[in-house]
Amino acid sequence: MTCWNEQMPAHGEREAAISAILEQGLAPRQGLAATLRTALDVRVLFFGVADCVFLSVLAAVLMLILLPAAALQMMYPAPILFLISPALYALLLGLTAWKEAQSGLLDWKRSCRLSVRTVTALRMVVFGGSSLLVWVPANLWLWKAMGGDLPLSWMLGISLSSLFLYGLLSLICLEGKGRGRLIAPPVIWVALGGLLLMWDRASAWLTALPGVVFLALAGGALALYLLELRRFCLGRRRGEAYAFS
Amino acid sequence: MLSVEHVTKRYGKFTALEDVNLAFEPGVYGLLAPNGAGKTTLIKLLATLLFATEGQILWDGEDINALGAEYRGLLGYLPQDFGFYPSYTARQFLRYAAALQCLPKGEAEKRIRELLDTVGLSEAADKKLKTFSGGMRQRVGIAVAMLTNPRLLLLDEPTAGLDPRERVRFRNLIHALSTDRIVILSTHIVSDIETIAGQIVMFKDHKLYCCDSPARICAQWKGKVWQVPAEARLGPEQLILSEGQSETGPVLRVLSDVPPAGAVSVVPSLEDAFLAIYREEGRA
Repeated sequence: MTCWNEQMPAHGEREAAISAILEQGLAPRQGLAATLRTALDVRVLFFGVADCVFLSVLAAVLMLILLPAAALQMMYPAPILFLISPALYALLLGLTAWKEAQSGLLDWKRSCRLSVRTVTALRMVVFGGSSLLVWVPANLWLWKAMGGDLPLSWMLGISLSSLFLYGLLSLICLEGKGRGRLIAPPVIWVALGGLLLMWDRASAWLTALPGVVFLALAGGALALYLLELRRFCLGRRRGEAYAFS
Repeated sequence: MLSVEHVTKRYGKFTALEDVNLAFEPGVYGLLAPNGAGKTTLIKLLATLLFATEGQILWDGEDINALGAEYRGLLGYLPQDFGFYPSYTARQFLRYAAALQCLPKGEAEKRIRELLDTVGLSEAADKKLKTFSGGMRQRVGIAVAMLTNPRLLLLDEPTAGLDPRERVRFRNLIHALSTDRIVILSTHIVSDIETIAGQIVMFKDHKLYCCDSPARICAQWKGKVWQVPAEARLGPEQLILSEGQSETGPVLRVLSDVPPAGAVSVVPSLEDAFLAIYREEGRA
């Protein structure tokens, strides 16, 4: 039997050798930020779904025209604000996702270098940002239309918390399987909004809450939404993170 | 280069593929099996659209799922029922595909021009896809799959729904594109692959039945395929493979260990082999 008398490398030397081998052998992978930059291209984000974006914006404009009239007729405007604030986001997300599913291209897209998850996540950010840009002036407009009876911060708090909570809900549902994952968020939201609209005590309770509570809720929901979006983009919920690069 | 190692795919209690082992080198491989045999499942596993329940698929020794975007970058995939956006032109769609494949704009434009020329769509490049025939759309699909000059090209039933002329054209196109890359083409139409595939992969009972050249698969049935006049009486052990026409009238091709009365021995074709291999499934 051969007896080996060669001197083994010291611990530090061995670790350095392993690091050097790995550094040369493993190609550096594109990080999340670099991937998002690649995907941030109008051609990539809205190809084939421009009609969905147009329809969603049209529906949102109609809602904005009808909103003051509806709000002025109600004793408590909180439920209508809660219900309607995520409408543009929901329409944009729902219609584009529906069209993608109908296009017969989803399997092919999933085999492309830029993952469907990344594109979806970026669309969500763009749709969320657009909704934010719409709802801040819309609240201002509504606040003036109502003669400044309610604090603007309170109205903004309800609107933004509703928008970000809806975003969070839609992200969680997207991790599910089947068609239900697209239908569930609007159904849950309409049911919840409908309940608030019909149940006066809930509306009164919502109205009695200070604006700071809603603003804090909006901040928390936004933070959770962004965290969840990152997890979604990296495929961490489904344990696909190892496949992301 | 690409190896499938002990891959099993189950959907709940249903086993779509069981313990499949395959190794692919550059060349054309035809996945030939009846519908439901697991061809699309294997293609989807190779395209990383599905995860194997057991086993692994390796590209140059590395797990394809771990390679992620790196693997997807060297993969060209044309799915069954490839969709399209009717209001966009072929060139616009290819530009979109190039963006999804992260190709730089200049390089993409050059590649799109070359590919449109290769698939014979240069003149129709700026026409809307809704005006294209099924064959033209499939050629757009091939151009899309070839954008990154992939080392692995996966084509899932690419000739389904095409007329014979388009099928021949498509076959010639695949043959022309098959140099220095692995082309895996799934079909249940024998004529699609018998002339272009170097290796035929067959599945039976959701297991790998064979991976061999068409000539060797046919050779297994040598001396067992016969041609008899259509009115000939056949015994229960003699199986009719197909019907056809000869100069003397209608004839039957028959599978039998012993020659039926009045039979003439014929060279087994890949279609004969296919029908012989899947004879039990046809009866079921």
